[in-house]
Amino acid sequence: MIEIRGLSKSFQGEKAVDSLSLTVQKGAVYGLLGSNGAGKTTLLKTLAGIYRPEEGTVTIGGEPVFEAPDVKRRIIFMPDSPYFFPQASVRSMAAFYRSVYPSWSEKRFAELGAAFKLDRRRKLSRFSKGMQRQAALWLALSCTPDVLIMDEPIDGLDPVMRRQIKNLLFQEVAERGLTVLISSHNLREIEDLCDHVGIMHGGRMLVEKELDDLKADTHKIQVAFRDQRHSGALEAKLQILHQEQRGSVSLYIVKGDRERIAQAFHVYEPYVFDLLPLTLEEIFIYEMGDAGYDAQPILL
Amino acid sequence: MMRSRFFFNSSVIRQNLRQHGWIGIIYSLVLLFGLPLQLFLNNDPNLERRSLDNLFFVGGEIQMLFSVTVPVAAALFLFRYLQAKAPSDLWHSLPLRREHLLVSHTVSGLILVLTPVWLTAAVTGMVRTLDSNMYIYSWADVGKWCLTMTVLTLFLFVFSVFVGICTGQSVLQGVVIYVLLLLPAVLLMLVNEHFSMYLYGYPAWYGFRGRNDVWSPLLHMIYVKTNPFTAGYLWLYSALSVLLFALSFLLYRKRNGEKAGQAIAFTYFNPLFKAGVMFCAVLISGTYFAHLRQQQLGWIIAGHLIGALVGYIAAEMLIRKTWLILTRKASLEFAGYTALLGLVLYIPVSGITGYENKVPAADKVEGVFVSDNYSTYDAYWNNAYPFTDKVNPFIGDKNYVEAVRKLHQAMASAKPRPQGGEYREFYLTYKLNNGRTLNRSYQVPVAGFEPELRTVMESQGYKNTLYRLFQLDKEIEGLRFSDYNKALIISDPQQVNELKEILKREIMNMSYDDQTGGQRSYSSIQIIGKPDADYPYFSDYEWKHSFSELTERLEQMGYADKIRITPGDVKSAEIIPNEYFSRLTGNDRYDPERHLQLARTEHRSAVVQDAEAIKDILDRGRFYTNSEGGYQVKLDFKEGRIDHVMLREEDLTPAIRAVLP
Repeated sequence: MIEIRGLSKSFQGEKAVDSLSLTVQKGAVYGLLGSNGAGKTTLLKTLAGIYRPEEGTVTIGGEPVFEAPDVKRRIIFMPDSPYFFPQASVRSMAAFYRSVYPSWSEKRFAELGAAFKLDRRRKLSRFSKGMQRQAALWLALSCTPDVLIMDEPIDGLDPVMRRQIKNLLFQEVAERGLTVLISSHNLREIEDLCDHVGIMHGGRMLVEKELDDLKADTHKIQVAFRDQRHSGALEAKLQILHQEQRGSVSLYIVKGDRERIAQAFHVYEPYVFDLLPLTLEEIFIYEMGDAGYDAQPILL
Repeated sequence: MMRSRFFFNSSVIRQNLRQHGWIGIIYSLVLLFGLPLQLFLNNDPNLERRSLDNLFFVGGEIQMLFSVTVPVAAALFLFRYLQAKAPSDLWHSLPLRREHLLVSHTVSGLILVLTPVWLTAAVTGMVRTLDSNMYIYSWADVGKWCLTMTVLTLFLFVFSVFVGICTGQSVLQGVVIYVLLLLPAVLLMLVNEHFSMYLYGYPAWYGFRGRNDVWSPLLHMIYVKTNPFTAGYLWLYSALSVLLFALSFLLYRKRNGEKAGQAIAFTYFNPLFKAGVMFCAVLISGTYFAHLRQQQLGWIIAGHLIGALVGYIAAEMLIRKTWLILTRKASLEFAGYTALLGLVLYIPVSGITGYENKVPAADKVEGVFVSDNYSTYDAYWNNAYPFTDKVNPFIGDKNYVEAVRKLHQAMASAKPRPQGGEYREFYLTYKLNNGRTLNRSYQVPVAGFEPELRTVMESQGYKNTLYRLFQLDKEIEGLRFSDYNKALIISDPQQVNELKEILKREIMNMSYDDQTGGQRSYSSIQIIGKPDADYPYFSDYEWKHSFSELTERLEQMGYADKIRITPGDVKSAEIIPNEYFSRLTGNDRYDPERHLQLARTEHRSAVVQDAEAIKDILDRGRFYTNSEGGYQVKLDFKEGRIDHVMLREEDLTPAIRAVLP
C-alpha cells in the first residue's frame, strides 16, 4: 500500500530524512518510533503530500503522492496538534471536508457522532485539547480514507480516550482494511496498537519489525543452574542476545522457538526456570544493542 | 471534475468568504463613506452644485487611504495559510493541487475587495440625480472611477499575493509589499542624488522632479487627486497584474511547504534580497554622510561602508532569523557583496563612461535648449501640465548652438565647483539628430567664463527661450504694469501692440551686463490673455531701467509716472559706503540697518532730499547684495515702506556725487 524508496529531505542543509525506505501493507497498523528530531514528522508530512520529496519516491497504491489529488483523496493526515479553521465548529468543518473529500460518508459521520458525544455547533477553539483530538478523528474517519496518517495522536491522552481510539482504529482496519501509520516517541503508548513497528533515528530507519513475530521469537529466561558449566554448554546451542548474572540467577534473552529453548534448558534440570514474554521495549533495547546502538536516548 | 478543470474549488471559496468576509464588509463601508456619502456632506446649504469629472476629488484621500491598505490586508489574511505551519499543513494535505489553492484563494480575495468597489460605484451612480447631491457628474465619470479602482485594487491584491508566495512570514510579507511599492521612486531619488553628487554636469532635475510619484504605485495612489491615472497607467497595472499572477502560479508550484515561517521562500532570492537591501542602505548612508561632511572623501567612503555593513547585517539577520550571524563565511560574503556594489556605484560615475567630458559634435545637434530654469522644457514634455503651451523649446540656429557648445566645452574641461562669488545656473539640453536628447546642468562661475557666458546670453536664441518671447507674438487683451502700490492696465490695442514690439526689441537688445548686473526694474509687466484663449498661463516681463526706448515711449504716452516710483514718492534717501560687511559679525552682516547704524556712528552717512539725486538713485539702483563695494542706499517712502538698493561706481551721476557722505 505505502511504498517509500530512498527518501531524503533536508531543511536548510540538515537532513531530516536520509535515504529512508519503508513498506506498509494494506490493513496494517504501523507504529513509527523515534526520539524528538528523528525525522518522524517530516516523513509523515512527505507521505501526506505536504512536503515535496527531495530524493526518492513516495507512493501510495503505486502512485506518487505529491500534488496528486486523486491519491490524496484517499489519505487523511492528522497533525500532532489538531488545527481547524478559526471560528469553525464540527458542523462547519464537516461541511468543508464533505465538499473536499468525495469519499465522505454522512452515515459514518452520524454513527461516530454517537460515539464521540461532542457538541457539533460549538466552536472547536473552545474545546479542550482532548476533545479537539476526538473531533479531528471523528472528521478524519468520516472521510473513510484508505490511509490514515497520525502524528503523535496519543501524546498526553487519558487511558479512556486511548482505548476509544484503539477500538475505532481496529474496527476500521478490520471492516474496511484501513491502513494506519502512527508516530510516537513513546513505545509503550502504541505497543498494543501496532502490528508493525519501525524505529527511526537521525533520519534513518534503524529497525523494522513485525510485532507478532518478534514476540513469538524472543524470550526472557530466568534460570538457576545446578552447575555453572551448564551455562557455557547452552551458549553453543542457542542464539543468545543478552546475558546477565544476578547472584546465582542468570538472565538470558534468547531468540528462537519457545519449545526448543525450553527443551534445551530442561536437559540440565535447573533449580529455577522461568520463560517470560518480553515487553516491546525490552525487545527493542536488546535488538538495538545488537545493532550497535544505545537504545536509551532513542526510546523512552 | 468540472470545477477542478477551472482551477477553483467552490468549497474553498465558501470557506474563505466565511472566514474573511469581514474584510469585504469593512471595505464596503469605508468606500461608501469615502465616496457616495461625501457627495452629500457640505456645511454650506446655499452652495451651488459643482461639476466634477474626476470623482477622486471628492474624498479621494479617504478612498485611497483604504484602497492602499485593504487589498493588501486581504492578501495577508487570505494567504496567511502559506506563512503559518498548522494551516499550511492542513491546506496542503487536502486533495487539491496548488493551482487550485492559489486560484481559489485569489478569487475569494478578489470577491472580497472588488465587490465593495463595484457596489460603491453603483451607489454613486444611482445617487447622481438626487437633489441634495452637491456634485454634477456622469455615468461615464462613475465608470472611470470604477475602472481605476478595480485595476488598482486588482494590482495591489495580486502583487501582495506574489510577495506572499516569495516570503514566508506575514509580517515580512507586509513590510516587503510596502517597501517594494515605494522602492522605484525612492531608488530613483537615491540614484539621482548619487549621480548629481559625483557626476559633474548631471542634471538632477531631468525627467524626475516633475512627477516622481508615478514611479511608485503607492505615491501615485496617494496623489490621485492631482495626478489621475491615465489609460496608459491602467493598462500598465493590468498587464503587471497578469504577469505577477502568472509568476505566482509558477513559483507556487516550486514553493516548498516547509517554508512557512522562513523569511524568504526561495533561496535563490536571497542574494538578490541581500544585494537590494545593501544597495539602498549604501546609497542612503553614503548620501547622508556626504551631505553631513561637505563631500570629504574619507567620510564618503566611510558612509558607504557603514551603509553596506548595516544593510548586510539587516538582510542576513532577517534571512537567518537570528542576530548571531558572525561567521567567517559571512565576512567573506560581505566583502564580496561590498566590492560588487562598490563597482556598481563607481563605474557609472567614473571617467569610463565619458559622461562628464561629452560634448556633442556640432553637426549632430538638431537644436538646443538653454535656460536658468527648465519650465519651458518641462512643459513641452510633461503632460502633467496640460495648460502650458507646447512650444518646441529647441533652437537650431548654428551660431547659437556653437555658443552653447563653447560654454559646455569650457565647463566640461575646467569643471569648476562653485565656491563663493557669483555664478549662474544653466540647464542645457541638446536635441540630437538621432532623436535622442542630451541633458546637463552647470553652475557657471561668472569669473573666468565671461566670454562664453556673454556669447550665449546675448544670443537671440537664449533670449527667446529664457524670456519666452513667443508669448509676445500672440494676440493679447492688454498689459498690466505694477509696482507695489501702483498699477496700470493698458488695453488700447494700438498702444498694446506698439509696446509689445518695443518690449521685444528691448529684450533682444539686452547686453550681457544688463542681464547680470543685478539691475532693477521700474515695474513688472503682466500679459492679460484673451478671455477665450487656450493659453492662460503667462510669464511676467519687466520694465528694466535699461529699457530706454520703452521708458521714453511710456513717458510720451504719459503713463510712466503713473507706474514707476517718482522722487515725489520718496521722503528721503540715506547713502553710506558699502564697506561694512567684513566689519560686522553673524546675522548683523545681512541686516542693512546694522550697516547704516555703524556708518552713522562714524559719521559716514548722508541723508538726501534733493529730487534730482533721488531720481538718479531710482533710475540706477541695483538689487541689494552682500558683496562689498560702491554705496548702499536706504529709501524711505512717504507711504511708510522702506527699500534698500545698491549703487556701483559707474552709477554715480554728478547729482549723486554731490550728496555723497
